[in-house]
Amino acid sequence: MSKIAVIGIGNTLRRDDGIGIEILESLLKFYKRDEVEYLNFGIASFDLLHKMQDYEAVLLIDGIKAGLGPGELKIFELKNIKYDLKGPSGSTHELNLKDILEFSKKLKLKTKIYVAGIQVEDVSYGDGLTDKLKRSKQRALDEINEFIDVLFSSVIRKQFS
Amino acid sequence: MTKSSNKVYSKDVKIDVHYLTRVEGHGNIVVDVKNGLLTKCEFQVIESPRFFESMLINRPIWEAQHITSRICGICACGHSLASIKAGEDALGVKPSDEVIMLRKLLLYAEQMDSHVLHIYILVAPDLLGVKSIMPLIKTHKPIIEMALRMKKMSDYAGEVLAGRHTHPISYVIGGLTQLPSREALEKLYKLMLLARKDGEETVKIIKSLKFPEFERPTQYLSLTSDEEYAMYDGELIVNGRQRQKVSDYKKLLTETVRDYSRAKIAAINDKPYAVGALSRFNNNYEKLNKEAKLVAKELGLKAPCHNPYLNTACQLIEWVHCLEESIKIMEKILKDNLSEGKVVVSSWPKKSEIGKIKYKPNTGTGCVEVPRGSLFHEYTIDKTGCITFANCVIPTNQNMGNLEEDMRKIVPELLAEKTQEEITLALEMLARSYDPCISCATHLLDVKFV
Repeated sequence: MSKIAVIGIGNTLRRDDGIGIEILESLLKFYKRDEVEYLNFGIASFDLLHKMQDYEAVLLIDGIKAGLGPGELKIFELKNIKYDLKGPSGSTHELNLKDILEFSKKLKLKTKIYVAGIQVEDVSYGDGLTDKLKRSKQRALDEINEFIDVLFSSVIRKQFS
Repeated sequence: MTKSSNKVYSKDVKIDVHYLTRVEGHGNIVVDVKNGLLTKCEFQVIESPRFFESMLINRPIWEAQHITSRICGICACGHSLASIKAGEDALGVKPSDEVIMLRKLLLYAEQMDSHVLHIYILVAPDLLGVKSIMPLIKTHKPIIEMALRMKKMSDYAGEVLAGRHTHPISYVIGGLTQLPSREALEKLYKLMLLARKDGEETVKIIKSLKFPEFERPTQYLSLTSDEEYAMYDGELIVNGRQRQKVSDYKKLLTETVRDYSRAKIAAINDKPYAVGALSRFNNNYEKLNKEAKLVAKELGLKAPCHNPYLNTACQLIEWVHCLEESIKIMEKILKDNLSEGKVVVSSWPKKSEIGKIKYKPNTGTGCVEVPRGSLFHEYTIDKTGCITFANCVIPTNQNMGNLEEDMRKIVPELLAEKTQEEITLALEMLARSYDPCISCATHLLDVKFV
C-alpha cells in the first residue's frame, strides 16, 4: 500500500470544477510515480474520509473559491486552515470538501492532509475548463508535481529517521 | 382540510422548511394551518429532473448499467443490479448461481453502507438533540469512529467485488468482467467478522434512544420469496397478501405528477404506499435470520409495525441480517473458490459479433430491494439490442405520497400541545426517517404543453 495518495476532486460536468480531475489525469499521464496512489474521487463523499486514513499523507487537488486570480494555485496543509461552518451541514450524502476536511480535523486523523487549490472562474454546467484555467493548467501541474516530489521525499526521510 | 379530532384549535401554523437538511438532494416541507385547520401539507421535491430514461434511448442494452448506476452515488450498485436484471430479462440471459451469490453480496454491502450512514449521520443527531453530526465528533468521538469503520467495511466490499462501490464497474449482464481477488476477499471476510462487534454496540446505542411515537397503517410493498428475506429476487407483495409478478408491476402501481413536485408520486389501489426497510420487515419478518430476529426482539419491534420513524430501527435489523448473510456467502466462496468459467463474461458482444447478432425485440423488467425500497428498471429493446423505451420507478418516488399522508395525520395530532418549532422538527424527522434519495427520484418528468 502506498504511503502517499494524490486525490482529484471535482465535477467535470461543471467547467472549472473539474480542474482537480484534469490535473490528476495529467499527473497520471505525464508524471506517474509507482510509489504514489492516484485516486479520482469525483464529487467528494464520506468515503473520502475513511479512504484518507489508509495513507501517511494525501494531497487533495480541487477547484477553490478563495478570492484569488483565476488559475492561481495555493498549496496548504489542512491544519493551517480555519473553517467557519455556519449552521448544520446541508446534505451529508454529498458532503462538500469543507465538511469532510473539518470532520477529519475534529477526528484528529493521523494522515497529513494537504490541499492543492486552484482558483476557479466559472463552475456553471458545461464541458471543459474556461480559457484562463486552460492557460494556467500546465503551470499548476508542474508546481503540484514538484510538491509531490517534496512530499514523497519527506515521507521517505521520516521512514528512515 | 383536516380537523384535529372534533375540536378546532384556533391556532395558525406556517411551516416552510426550505432545503430539508440531512437528506440526499433538495426537498421542502410546506405546511399551512389556519385556525386549527390543515389547509396545505406538501413535501415538495425541487431537485431538477435528470432525464436518465431519455439518455438510455438508442443506447445498446450493454451500456445501461453503466449509465443508470450514475442515477445515484449511494445506491449505485442497486441501480446497476436492477438494470442488469432488466437487460437479462429482455435478452433471455440466465446468470449462474455463483454470479447470483456475488450479486447478493454486493447488494448486502450496499444495504449496510447506506443504512449505517442513515442511522448515524442523518438520524442520530435528531435523536440526540443536535443539529448535525459535527458536535457529536466531540461528544461521542468513539461512536463516530465506529460508524466510519462500519461504513469503511461495506465500502471496501464494493471495491473488492465490483471495482468500486460508487458506480460499480465489473458487474455486467451475464456475470462479472473480473473475479475478485482471493487475497482481497480474505481481507473482507476478516473485516466482516470484526464488524459483528460494531453491530452489537450499535444495537445497544439505538436501544437507548427514544424514537417519536406515531402510527399510521398503510400499504407496505416489497419483494418476497419463499427461500429467503428477499432483496435480490422474488415477486412483489403488499401487506403480506396481494402478490404480483415483477414483470406485471404496472398492473399493481401507478405514477402521477403533482404540480408542486418534480418527482412523480406512486400509488397502489389508488392509495399511497411505503417501501423500504419497514415494509420489508413487515412483509418478510419470518425470513430474517436468527441474529436479526434477536435484534428485533432487543429493540422491541414486532411485525407489523406502523411507525414510520422506526424505519431507522428496521434498517439496523437489516444491517445485522445482511452482515450475517454476507459472512455465510463469504465462507462458501472461500471454501469452494470461485470458478472463472461460471462467473467471468465480457461486458460487450465481441467485435466480430457487432452488427451480426439479431436480437428478439423484447421488454425486460428487473427489480431489487435497495436501501430505500423496491427499485424497478424496465427496458424495451429492438432487434439491434438498442433500448427504445426505459422506465425507472424509484423507491423515493414511491414513498412521497405516503410521507405526505403521514404529515397530514401527524400535524393535527401535534397541534394541541406542540409549538411550531416542535412540529417543524417532528416533520423534518419524519421525512428523514424515510431516508429519501431525492436526486434518484427526479429522473424524468414528462411535459405536455397544452
